[in-house]
Amino acid sequence: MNIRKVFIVGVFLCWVLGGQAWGQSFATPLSPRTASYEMEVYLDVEAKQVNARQTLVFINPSADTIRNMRFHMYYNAWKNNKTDFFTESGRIPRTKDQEEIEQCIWSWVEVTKVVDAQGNDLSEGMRYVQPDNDNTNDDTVLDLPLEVPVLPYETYTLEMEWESQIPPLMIRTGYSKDYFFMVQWFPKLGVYEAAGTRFAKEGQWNCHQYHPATEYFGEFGVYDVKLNVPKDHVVGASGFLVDKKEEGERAIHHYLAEDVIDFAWTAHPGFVEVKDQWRDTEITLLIRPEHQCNQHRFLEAAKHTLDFFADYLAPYPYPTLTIVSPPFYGLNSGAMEYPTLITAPTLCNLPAGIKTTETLVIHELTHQYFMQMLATNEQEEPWLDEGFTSYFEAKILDKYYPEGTLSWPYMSMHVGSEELRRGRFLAADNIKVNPLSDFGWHFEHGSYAQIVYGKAAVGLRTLEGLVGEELMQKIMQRYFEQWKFKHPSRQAFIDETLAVVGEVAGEDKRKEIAAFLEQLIYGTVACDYSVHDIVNKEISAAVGFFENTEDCEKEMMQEGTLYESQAIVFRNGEFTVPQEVKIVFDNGEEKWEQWDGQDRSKDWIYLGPNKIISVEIDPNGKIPLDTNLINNSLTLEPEQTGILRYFTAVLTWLQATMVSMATLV
Amino acid sequence: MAANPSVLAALKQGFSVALGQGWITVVFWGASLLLALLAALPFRSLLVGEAGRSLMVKDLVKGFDYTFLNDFMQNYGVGFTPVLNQSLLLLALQYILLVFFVGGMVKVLWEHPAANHRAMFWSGSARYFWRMLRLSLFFLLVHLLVLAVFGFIYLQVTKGLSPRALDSEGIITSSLRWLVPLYVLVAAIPMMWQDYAKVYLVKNDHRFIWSSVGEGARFIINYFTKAYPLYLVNISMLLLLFGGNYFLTSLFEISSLSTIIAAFLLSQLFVLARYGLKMVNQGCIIGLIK
Repeated sequence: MNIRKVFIVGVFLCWVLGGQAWGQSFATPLSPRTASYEMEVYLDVEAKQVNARQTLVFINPSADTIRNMRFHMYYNAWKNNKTDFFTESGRIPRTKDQEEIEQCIWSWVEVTKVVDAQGNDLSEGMRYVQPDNDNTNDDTVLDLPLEVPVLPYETYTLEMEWESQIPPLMIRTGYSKDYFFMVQWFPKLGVYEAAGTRFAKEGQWNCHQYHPATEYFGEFGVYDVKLNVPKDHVVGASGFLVDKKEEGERAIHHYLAEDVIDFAWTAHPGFVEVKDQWRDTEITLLIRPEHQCNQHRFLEAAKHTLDFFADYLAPYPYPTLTIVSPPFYGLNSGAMEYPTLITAPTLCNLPAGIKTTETLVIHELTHQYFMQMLATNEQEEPWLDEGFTSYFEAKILDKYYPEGTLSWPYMSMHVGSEELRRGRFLAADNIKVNPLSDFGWHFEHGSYAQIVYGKAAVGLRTLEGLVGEELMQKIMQRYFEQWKFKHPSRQAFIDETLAVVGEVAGEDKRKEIAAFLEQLIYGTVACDYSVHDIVNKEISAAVGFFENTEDCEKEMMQEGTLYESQAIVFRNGEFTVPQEVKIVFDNGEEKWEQWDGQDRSKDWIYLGPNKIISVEIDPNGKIPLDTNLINNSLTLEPEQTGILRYFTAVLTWLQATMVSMATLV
Repeated sequence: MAANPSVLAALKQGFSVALGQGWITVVFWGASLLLALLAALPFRSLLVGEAGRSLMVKDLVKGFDYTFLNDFMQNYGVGFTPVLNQSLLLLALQYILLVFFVGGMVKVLWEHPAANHRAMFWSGSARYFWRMLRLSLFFLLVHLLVLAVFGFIYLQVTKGLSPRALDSEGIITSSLRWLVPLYVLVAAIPMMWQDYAKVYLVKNDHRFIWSSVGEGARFIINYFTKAYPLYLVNISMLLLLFGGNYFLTSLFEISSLSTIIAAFLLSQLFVLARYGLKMVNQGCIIGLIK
């Protein structure tokens, strides 16, 4: 009986004998379960090390014969200071202090033994490779030549032993004092892409080096993991707890996570477990006692998010959701998303008007759809998960927290999530520095977050404005239904969008949206339209000598004054998008004009007894991608009471500063 | 050196003198309004010039508009630099002006109820300007020192605000609950000292500020049980004024021209009252010394 059969029989026996927890197992797999792991993990909290054994069961998803495998070895990012992670992460604070450097305390993960199902020891052939560049100091990708190739659609099993030195918590993963946040922590198989899958021209392993700005791309599978930790440590993990056994001072927590692309866990003696329920999903909040004052904020935001997606896309399918609120000294693990486990930090004195906790819960939980169920490649197409997530984060926050993500009584301050996201995008050093379609680590000169999160979210919101809310939901539903538990690329989203738009709104709209998506995804140009001028010319009667008149025409007066009224608009940016223009006359009459937005300028001329008093481009705010909304309108009858309010406010602030200075005189 | 009156009597005298010389408060307030106008008018011109004909400004009456401000800064923000620079320049000018007025104010309060106050105010302002400036700069350094000491204590208590060093972030705010009141109590001493030194500078017309600084310190040490409580009473009145202003401004929502004007007038009353309290404080000190 080979290792794979032992694993399968073992899983079956556990399922039969293992008690109620296994009842949370899916009767029908949700995903192809291409790469499944069975692990036994020992955490040494003193040495900050992990020793583990793992069995990997891989199903070749292609018609190719696979002769090697590639693994992510994330912890080798901290093996020296010349890895891609260190050299690219100029802005991430160093956690290495001088003492650690002098004592050569670095972090790593190392496979000590690897054996295939036939008993061949493959350790000899292992080597580190650098598929993204020629940085030979970077050991974050391990290439493993196979003795026995993996035949098309065949199952292949590997037995591995490995150990790791856990890094101090710098970003996402590691330890800080007695808090362990273990993510991107084990030798993890890359994704095999057959020719024609996403952008693959031939069969290949998609397994990039660990770059600091990008996170993951994983294959779906089942994780059956036994975590051996000190028994006073409270544990949370992806999936559900099958059982827990105590052995002396240690405890073994047995977790099963199905149809997920990754497995994450945490251990910390200071956590309090707070339980709640949403439909069939058990919500566990791991939180420190000093943060419990905010526990309702976590749970409420989580339930709002789950409610939203249940209506908008599909109900959350997993039996568990674990939210980790890290201790203050573990903040660097905050705001992260892993399958069925997310982190969202809070502070004990966070004012109610600052919705950071809610924002993070909503954002990270949204990733369960955009990254986990729709398992896009964050390294190559980061906007497909961060951008979509930011778009939905804003929608959910603005729906359930109408007072805004930031609110303060002074000056009636209410900042909505959507406008905040737009503002952050436009505040980038350079919004044109890279197209959305770029790989994550190609954003070498900044503005990664502003473009990947911000431009994508604002772009999706603009798409919603162009097609309407109802059609947008249809697009998202189609995209989700077609690609859930698969690996969609941007082309998948484009194709699904255009298909739905073509079906519902016709060919012209389909072409319009195709042009929009092309500019949004592959372009770097900015969108800016403005109202240039309003001209109202009085039409005078013809006076003087004319060819068809014998006498001089002298009659100046005519019955009622007529005007030639002209509204002139400009396209200042290179981005073109159809526009609606609202023109208002002095009698209150409104004209709504449609403009394809292609030409550099456009005017509308009206003859009649009424003058134009205002012109407004995009009056319904459908195009937040426009970089300047102030110049989108022009009025001849300005209402400047608002300016007076700002003026008096500034005046008062200055006087307040002055009178405060008097204290020091 | 007398300090015979009780704290209450000194307080009463402070109010009496401040009310009697209320026009000085108006001078302080008028100067601040004028200079603030000089700084704020270019800001208004910038808003009107760049955005005044946009329909977007209509909504500004509701208050803070993130999208408007963000788009304004992104697209016309370069116009803010000269406006900001001018504001900073005018704040510096206001500081100089305050120093100038203080000499005159102390002189008038000291000589109260002598006649011809206006001439005395302006001549006093001019006469003591350079010495008051030096005194102010010296005490500015003292205040900075006190602030640095408290900053150091705060960083020690909060372990440099380092997430890696702290067990919980609670100490970051909980320590402020005792540190801020303690700071106010301690910082009140150099502030009080400065006010007494100013009086001695005018009273004895010292050529060098150190004599006044020394005399002020000696008085405070000798009559600490009167001088310090009196100063704390004055600080309490200032806090009450802040509380009252907060209460009044929260009574109405600003949403129209009339409410904007009402809020502005209220703010002017508040500024006037703060300068008035400064007069009361200085008057009390003079009452105690006399």
